[in-house]
Amino acid sequence: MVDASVMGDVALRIEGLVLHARGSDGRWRPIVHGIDLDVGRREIVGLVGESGSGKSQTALAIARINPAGVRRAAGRIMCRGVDVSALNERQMQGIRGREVAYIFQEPMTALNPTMRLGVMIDDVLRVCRPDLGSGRAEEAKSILRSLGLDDPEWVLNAYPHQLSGGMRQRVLIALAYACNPALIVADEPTTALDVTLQAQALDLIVSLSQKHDSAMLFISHDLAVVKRVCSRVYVMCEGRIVESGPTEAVISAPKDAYTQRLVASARAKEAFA
Amino acid sequence: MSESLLEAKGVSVAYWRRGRRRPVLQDVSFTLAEGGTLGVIGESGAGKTTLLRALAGLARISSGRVLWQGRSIGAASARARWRSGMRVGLVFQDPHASLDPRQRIWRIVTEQAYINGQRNTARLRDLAGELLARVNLAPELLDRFPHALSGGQRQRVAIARALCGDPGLLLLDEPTSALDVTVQVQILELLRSLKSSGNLSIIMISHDLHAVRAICSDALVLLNGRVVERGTTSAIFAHPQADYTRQLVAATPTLD
Repeated sequence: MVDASVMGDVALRIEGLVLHARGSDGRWRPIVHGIDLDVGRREIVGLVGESGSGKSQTALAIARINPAGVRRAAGRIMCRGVDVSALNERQMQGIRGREVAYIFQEPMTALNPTMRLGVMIDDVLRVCRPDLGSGRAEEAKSILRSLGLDDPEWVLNAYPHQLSGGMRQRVLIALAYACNPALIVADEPTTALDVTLQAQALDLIVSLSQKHDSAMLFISHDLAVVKRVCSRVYVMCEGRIVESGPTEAVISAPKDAYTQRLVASARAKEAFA
Repeated sequence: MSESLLEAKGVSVAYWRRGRRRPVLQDVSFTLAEGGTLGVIGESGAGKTTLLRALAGLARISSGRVLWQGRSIGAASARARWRSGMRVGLVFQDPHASLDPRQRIWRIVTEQAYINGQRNTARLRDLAGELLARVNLAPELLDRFPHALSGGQRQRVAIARALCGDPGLLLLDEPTSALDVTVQVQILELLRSLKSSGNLSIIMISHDLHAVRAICSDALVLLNGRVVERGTTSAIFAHPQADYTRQLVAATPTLD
């Protein structure tokens, strides 16, 4: 049993999660083999792994938005003490966006190209911030201003293609925080950005997390990026957590052979001259 | 003094958009020596890819000149450039998008030879085997399709294809930024060994300073279509002069 007083300090707890994927022959095979993972309140925790490691499917499983060919076969996922695996679809709607929000990699595909940004932002606020009432328009502007966008009126009237990639991703990051969710799942949120924009986006994530008191599961293949924002890190390889601990410790003294290889590669890339 | 292989003199490129002329590259000059390596650093929209396309004859130069071994080839089409001896191989960022999914690997890597008239399947397959060996891929992959390969293997195939026809110059457009870090290191190692094994010159564009430093001895920094800094890669890294370059160096994530 989970102790409620303990759960109060945990934004996310994953216990023994097993995910299966259906192959082209129609048979279900495990892709995530019973992983355990915790994210404390106000904590930014990294989940590091390479393509195919199962990290993105794990991320999608939290709000139960995996594609049709992937299903949870065992294990529990608790968001602030609520077992989301036990909820029905209607109850899940109350969790998505309000308790768990996502930031995805590609800001171009995550925004609807046929809608003005103001309409999309308003949709989000109407659903998850009913307390705002007619103050939604003002809130939308203040969100945009907090991103350092000088002309919020112009942005609200703009379509996604009129914004640069960095601006789009900052809007998506701000939208994820707009509903004050307990947990934000960020899946490679800065991988599509240039180095300078990446640094700005990472700074924004850290400052918004502090301001909103939210927790984050930060997924990336890049240890150097994870080190900038995450206090703790889990390393995932072939569907298993192979190592976890404080980010500094994992990078300076990796214990698992795979983590050692990951750290060695990152160091080798920096050492070429 | 080494021979100059490729020279850009005041190259500018403009695109027309909604009836307005928009300059994307302004007055870019550099000299690349035979066997030289040049990195082009800058963020999206800086004009990096346009510069590469202009050098390859895929974008029209609005003013300025491009010289190959001293001869002006600025206005020549890609085909005319190849005939006049300007052998250039191109590698793009995303190996998932740059390989034809309907072609087997041996076909993909020998396309250049096929276009130049080689129709003998046995010869093309032999050539494909040699090209794969140069990028450390097993001959078993010859009859596979791109979807059966990992991202790193696909990027090796793209490099093998660029090496077909023995180009004197490889133009690399962000060759590692779509890959996992462990795979990035393998591709960088491959490019370094290709560079040292033959008389191959390289121009590589990237926003990843570490990747540029791994391959290129010299570099240009582009901002809004203009060169804001140039020099040896190690000097740019150690003592960035332009404000923008300083920001770039500071923003580059490192493990330590």
